[in-house]
Amino acid sequence: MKDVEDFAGVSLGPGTVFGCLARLEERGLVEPLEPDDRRHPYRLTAAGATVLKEQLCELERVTSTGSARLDASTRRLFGGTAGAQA
Amino acid sequence: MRKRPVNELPFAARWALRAYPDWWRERYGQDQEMFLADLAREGRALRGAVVDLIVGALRARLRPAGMPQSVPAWRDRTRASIAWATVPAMAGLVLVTVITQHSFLDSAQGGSLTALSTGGRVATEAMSALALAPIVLGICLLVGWALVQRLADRAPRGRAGRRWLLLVTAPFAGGVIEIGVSLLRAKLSPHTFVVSVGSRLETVVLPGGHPLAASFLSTLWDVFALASLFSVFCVVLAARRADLQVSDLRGGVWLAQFTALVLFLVALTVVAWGIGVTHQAPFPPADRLGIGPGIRPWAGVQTSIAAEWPLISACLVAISLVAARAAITARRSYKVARQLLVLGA
Repeated sequence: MKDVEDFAGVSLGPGTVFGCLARLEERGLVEPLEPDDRRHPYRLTAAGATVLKEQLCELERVTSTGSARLDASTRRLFGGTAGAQA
Repeated sequence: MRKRPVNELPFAARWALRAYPDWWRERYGQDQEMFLADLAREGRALRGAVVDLIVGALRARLRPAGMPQSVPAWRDRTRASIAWATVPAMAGLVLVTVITQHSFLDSAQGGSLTALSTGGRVATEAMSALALAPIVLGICLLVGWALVQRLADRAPRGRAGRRWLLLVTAPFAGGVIEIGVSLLRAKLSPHTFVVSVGSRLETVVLPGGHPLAASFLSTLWDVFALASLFSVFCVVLAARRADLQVSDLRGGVWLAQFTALVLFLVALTVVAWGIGVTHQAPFPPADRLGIGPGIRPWAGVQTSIAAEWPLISACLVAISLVAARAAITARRSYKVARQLLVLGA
């Protein structure tokens, strides 16, 4: 959870985390491993890895499209302003 | 051996963890405890985590993702759903008791007040129906109690058994108190009406005792309504502590459906009552109505009802929706438990 908090800046509560975990486990996207000293570790299944890859690709497509459009509009806006100032 | 930090957690956190279903606690309970212990060790406030746990527990009960396909899990879900359908019914009874204290019915039935409009007639009929609701729900409570009695041979033994017996006896004591209070109320409450007959005002006093007795009994009536709620908790706890089989739940499922239906009808009736009262044309200032020591002008009663009924109706509708959802879940879970039993899961 600390990792999620560090890279995403989002603090997740125990109800949310284990609720998500239960849903992922139900869909066969993660599976529990043998418990170590303190906790149950979980591992991504093959199906989970596939779904995660698809989701990441989708996210990447959205961010790249968004970035490209933002760049274009920024160029139009600031390029136009720069032209007017010149 | 794994460390169990749960006893070090604040009461609210432990309570929130217990709000999850048994199957969930078996699977994720230990990890959740560790999670909370880590947060506490880092010196973080647990308030947000407790709220998150309560929301999570509610979600786990409403939509049990990953619930194992085993008879005990579905049996427990059925039992919990029955409790969620019947306990709100008794909470509804408390609200109905608040409503029936408005003496619209008694005065209007006398026929001496200014003619009732359609709204007034609807309110009067609704109040007559509402007077039956506590009786019907009281019968449901008795049926639930009788169903739990049948579990006596599978009740816990020893000290836990004595506690179980206490739980089962509590509703019976509540029933005796109810009958006693009702009889005392009928005997001791002075009924005073001031009614308008044509252009004259007449006072009608029915036999009764001291005004303080009426006030005391009125309070006792409210206490009884809360005692009924307590009784249902006792029955639910007693059922939880006995060694329940799937077949034991059949009567409970029917009871849950029936109480949820009654509560839904009560909620609709209260809505009709409130709309009816607010649509009754105001009576002339001469008209008074009252029961017991205080006789209030009708306009004041109408104003107080108009102020209270939207909140009471909203609470009742919300409670009845919870009960209806729980009753549907109880029926479905019972079916699944039966199927799993047949399949030998």
